[in-house]
Amino acid sequence: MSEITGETVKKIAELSMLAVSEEELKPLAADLDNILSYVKKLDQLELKEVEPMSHVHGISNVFREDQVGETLDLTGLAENAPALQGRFFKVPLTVE
Amino acid sequence: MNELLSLSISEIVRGLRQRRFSATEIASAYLEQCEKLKHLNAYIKVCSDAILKEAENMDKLTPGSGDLIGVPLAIKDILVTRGIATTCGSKMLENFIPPYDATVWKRLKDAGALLLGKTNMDEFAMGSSNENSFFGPVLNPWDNNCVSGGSSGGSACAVAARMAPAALGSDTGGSVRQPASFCGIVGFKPTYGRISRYGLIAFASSLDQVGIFTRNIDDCICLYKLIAGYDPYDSTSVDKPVGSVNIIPDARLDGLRIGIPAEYFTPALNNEIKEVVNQALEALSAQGAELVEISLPHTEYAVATYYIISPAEASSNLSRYDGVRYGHRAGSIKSLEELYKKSRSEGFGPEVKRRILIGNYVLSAGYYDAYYRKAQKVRRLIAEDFANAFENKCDIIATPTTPSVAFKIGEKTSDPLQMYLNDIFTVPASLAGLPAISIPCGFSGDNMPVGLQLIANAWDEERLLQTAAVYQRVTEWHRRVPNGL
Repeated sequence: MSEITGETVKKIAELSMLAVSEEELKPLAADLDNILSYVKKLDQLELKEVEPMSHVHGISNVFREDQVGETLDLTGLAENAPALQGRFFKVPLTVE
Repeated sequence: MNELLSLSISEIVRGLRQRRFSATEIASAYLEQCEKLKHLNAYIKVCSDAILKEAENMDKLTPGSGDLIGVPLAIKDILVTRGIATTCGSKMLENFIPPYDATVWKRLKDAGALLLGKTNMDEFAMGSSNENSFFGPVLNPWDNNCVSGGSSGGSACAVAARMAPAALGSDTGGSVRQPASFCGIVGFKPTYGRISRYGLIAFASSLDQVGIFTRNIDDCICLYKLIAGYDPYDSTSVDKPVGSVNIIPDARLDGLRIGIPAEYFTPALNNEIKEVVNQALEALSAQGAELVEISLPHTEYAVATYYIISPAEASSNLSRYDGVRYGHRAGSIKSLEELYKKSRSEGFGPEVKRRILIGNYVLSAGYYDAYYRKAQKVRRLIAEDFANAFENKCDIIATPTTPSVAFKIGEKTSDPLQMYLNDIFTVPASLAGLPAISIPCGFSGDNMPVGLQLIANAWDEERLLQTAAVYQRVTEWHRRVPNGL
């Protein structure tokens, strides 16, 4: 237990691009700890010989010939953007 | 209640063709019911003006050949609908207007269906009670103090309360079967890969599957035939013939072996559920089915496996919400990093954040092998349990859909783990990618619906639906309607 501390939550929140307030840290750490302790149940199983399953039907990449088809209209797509400049997405300055 | 609301899909289509009523009358009847039962909060958006306009246009013409001519349908707000806001139950997408239609909706529309509205759901389909919706919980039509189930709670409620003849939802770990069970209707999730996920907003891509809510099996089969089948726009949809899905109306179940997994019928199972489900098994047996005891030994590890794999996939899928191209964007921002962090923190609700954090934790360096890889291995063991059962013992597996009937609103919100454990009977079939259906099979002492879950081998939907059809023919549970409609 208590594998998850406030510090751990802070670190994962950074990786997740989420801002977590100081008040949220403790309850979140407790929730995560509770859930991760539960999923530790899997440690009861002997899994050395078992292959991981990433797809239920074992399908890998699907290829097809390249074809010219219909595309979505750029204007329609851009309408959902919170900020636009001309036909470009507007973001805060990223390179000085 | 307006008697038009009791018609099945085929009765609506036939009636319209014979001009016994108009598409406008049908649409109006449903709109009135939606208005009357607004407090159940089943819809995020009802498309009143649009559907009336389309119905009026339809009434001016000779009815076309489509199988769903004039049938109003409710669509879970996780499926994108061109030009109509699609929120996924989240503040993040509160103002998102999709520029295209999900394949499943396009197919239904092409068959003549009319969009009645977009239904409420747990935010990004993460939840088992619909209490995680940005737009508030959905009430259970059988008891307004109870949850409708989740994550497709709005779709289940709408169909049960006659606010739609049928609805689409999505099922990742039980999000169609569980609310169908809680609301006393049919909820069907086909084999993973059977139905296109194009336009289904992603939660956990190796598990997500579109599902169907109806009041009876015939309507379910009708919609299934229309939406199933390969879609070049979804490379995880499988290019395999759907088959004719010919259901023999007076069939019996002679020769059918129904597996009863011991792990689902433990002493911990709620007594009322056990009794009701046992009666359902007797009814199946009376139709000639042979009930065989089976074991799915890794069942108890399914929830743990699911709550590693699904948050892991979700954390990756939801990284696209960055406040740049679409979705919520926070105000007064100085840097790009601040834009990401603030937009995501304001746009996502607590459960979504929790799952993103879990997902990134189990995928992070040092923990990947201990959690994610381990869960993928156990997933194989769970899938093999089912494969062994279908190879050696049985053709169909029968279980309760849920460990209890619908619980009270607020009862489980303080403990996420308790909420997760509610998925215990639906998650295994999801992890194995198998087709499964929940059908009404009785009621608790408090008059709350109980669901019977039937699971079939991959691609064996026809047998699954045929079995459900026989059960429906010899029982009356699906005909019960909540009071006060």
